[in-house]
Amino acid sequence: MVDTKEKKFLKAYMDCHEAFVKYCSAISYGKMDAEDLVQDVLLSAFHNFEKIKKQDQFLHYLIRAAKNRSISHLRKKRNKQELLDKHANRLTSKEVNAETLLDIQLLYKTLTELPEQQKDALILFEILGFSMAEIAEIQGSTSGAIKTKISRGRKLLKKLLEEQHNVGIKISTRLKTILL
Amino acid sequence: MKKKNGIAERLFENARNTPPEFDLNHIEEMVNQFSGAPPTPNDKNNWTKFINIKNGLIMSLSMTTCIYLISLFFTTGNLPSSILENKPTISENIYDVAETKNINTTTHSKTDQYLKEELQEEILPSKKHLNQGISIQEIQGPRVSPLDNKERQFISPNFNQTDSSQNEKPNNISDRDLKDELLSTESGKEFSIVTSNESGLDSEPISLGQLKLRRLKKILYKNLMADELIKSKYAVVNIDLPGTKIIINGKKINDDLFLKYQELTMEAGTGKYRKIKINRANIRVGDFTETGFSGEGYGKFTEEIESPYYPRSINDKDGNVLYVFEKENAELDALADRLLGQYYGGGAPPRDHVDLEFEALLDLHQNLYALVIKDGFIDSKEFPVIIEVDKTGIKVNGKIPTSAQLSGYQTMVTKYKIKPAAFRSIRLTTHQIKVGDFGDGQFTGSSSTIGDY
Repeated sequence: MVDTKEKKFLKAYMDCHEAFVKYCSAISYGKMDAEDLVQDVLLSAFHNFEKIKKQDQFLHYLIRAAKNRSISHLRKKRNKQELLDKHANRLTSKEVNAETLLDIQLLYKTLTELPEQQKDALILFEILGFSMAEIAEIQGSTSGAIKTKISRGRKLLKKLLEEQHNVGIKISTRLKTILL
Repeated sequence: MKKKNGIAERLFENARNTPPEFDLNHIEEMVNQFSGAPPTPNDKNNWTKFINIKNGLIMSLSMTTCIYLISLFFTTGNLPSSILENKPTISENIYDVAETKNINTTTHSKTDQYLKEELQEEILPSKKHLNQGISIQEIQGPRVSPLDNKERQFISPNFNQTDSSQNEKPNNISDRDLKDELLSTESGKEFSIVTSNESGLDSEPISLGQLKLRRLKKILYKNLMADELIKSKYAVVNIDLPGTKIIINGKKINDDLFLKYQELTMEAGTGKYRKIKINRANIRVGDFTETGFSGEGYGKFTEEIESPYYPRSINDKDGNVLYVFEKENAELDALADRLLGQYYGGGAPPRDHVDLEFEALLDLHQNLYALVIKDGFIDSKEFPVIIEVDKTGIKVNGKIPTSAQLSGYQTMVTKYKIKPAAFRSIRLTTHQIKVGDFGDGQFTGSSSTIGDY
C-alpha cells in the first residue's frame, strides 16, 4: 500500500522535477537551503497526496507550496556563505561551468532584490517557461496583472544588472590603475 | 528583447539550460523515507490556522455587539439600585419618582413640603409659570440636591423596582422615618422622591415601570404616525383617557381607532384627569390636575424656569413699574397657539442654536417690523408677529409671503445666518424680539427687549 502511494507520488512528480527544483533553487537562493525547501514541500505533498484534487496540476501545487513555505517556514539561521557554497557545489557536480555558475548566481542574487511577486512571475515565466495564464492561475491573479509584473520585473532587473555592471567596471578600472 | 535586455536574457538563458540542483534519484531516496516520517508541523492540526481576517472580523463584530447589548442592558435600569448608585457621576440631576400609597406627604416637614412643591413645579410645564416670574433660586428651604443643570432632569419610576420592599412599611416605622430613609438614598446627584396619589381622584391606579413606559412611548409614537394623527415623531402628544372616549391632541378619535388605542393605553388606566403626555424627551402617565401631576414618568424632563428673556415687568425712567411684557407675552403666546397649535412639530429638533448680538436683534426688530407693516401682514407695531423659519419656507403670521415680499425676509434671515429648522421662528412684539427654537415648551435662542418704556 505504502509502495503504491510512493510510486504514484513519484510518477506524478517525475514531470515536475526539473521545474520544481529550479524554482526552489531560485526562490531560496541566499535565504535557505534549497534541499530543505524541496524536502519540506515534498514531504507535505506526500502526506496530502490523496487530498490533492487536481493531480494533473501537481506542479502548480508544488510551486504554490514552495512559495508559501519559503515565506512562512521557520528557517534556521544559517551562514549565507555556506548556503551559497552548497548551491555552487551542487551545480558544479552537475558539470556546470564556472562562467554559467557565476551567471546563475548573479541572476538569483539580483532576483532577490526584486519585489516578491515580480520575482516570482519572472522566475516562472523566464526560467521555467510557464505561460502567463498558468502563472495567473498559480498566483491567483489575472494574465494582465502578470504581464505587468513581468514587464516591471524585467525593467527593474535590467536596471539592477546595469548598476552592478557599472560598479564592476569601476572596480576593475581602479584595480588596473592601482596595479599599473 | 535581446537588444533591450542583453545581460538579463543571457542570464535567463543560462538558468534555463542549467540542470536542476538535484537529480531525480535523490528525490526518490527522499520520498522513500517519507513513509515513516511524521507530517510536517504545518500539516498538524494547528489552532492558529483559524486566525485570519475573516474570523477576526466575525469575532470583533460579535464582541462589539455583545458589549453594546450589555451596555444597553445596564442603561435601561435593569440593575439593582446598589449597582446603579455606583455608576459614574453624570452631569444631569436625576430624580426617581414613584407612586407610593403608603406615604402621606401632607404630614411631612418643611423639607418634604418643599420637595413636593418643587417636584410639582418642575414636572408640570406651564406657561403661567414663566409669566409669574418664579425662579427656582427664589424658593427657600433646605435643598436636597443642588440643581447643577437647570435644564434637564431624569424622572423615572424605578423606585418601585429598587425599593419595592419599602412599599410594605412595617408598623414601627413612621412616615417621617420612611421619608428620611428615602432622602438618604441620595448618592451624588441621584436621589429618590416620592409623590402621593391625589386623594379623591376617580382614577385607576398606575403600576407601570421604566420598561413599560418606554415601550408605551415607542408604540404610541409608531401608531400615531401610522394613523396620521401626528405628522412627526418629534411632535408633542397629549392623550386624554377619561374612559368613554380617547382624545388625542384635543381631537376625539373615531370608534375604530378608539378600540385600538384603548388596547394600547390599557395599562395607563382611565380617569377624569388621566392623561398620557409624550414628547421627544419623555413620557408621563398619570393624573394632571390643577394642583399638579401625580403618576409615573420616564425620560428627560425640561425644567421651565424663569428666563431672563421673559421679563415680566420693568421700571420706566421715572421708576414706575410697567407690565408691558406680561401683556405682550400673553398676546404672543395666544398668537403662537392659534397659528401653530400646541402640538406642532415639523421634524427633528435643530442641532445648532441661534446666537445673535443685541445690535443684530435690534436691526432685525426694526427691519422686520417695517417689512411686515409694509407688506400688510399687520397694521402697526402694536401687534405681535411670528415669522416661521422652517424648512418648508418662511411664513409670516401663518401666511406665505409672495415671491416679491419673500426676498426682504430672506435677506434678513440670510444676513444673520438664521438657518431654517423645525420649531425655529422670529417672534416680535412691540418691545421684544425672540429668535430661536420654540420646541417642547421651551425657548432656545437669542432674545432682547427693545426700546424705551
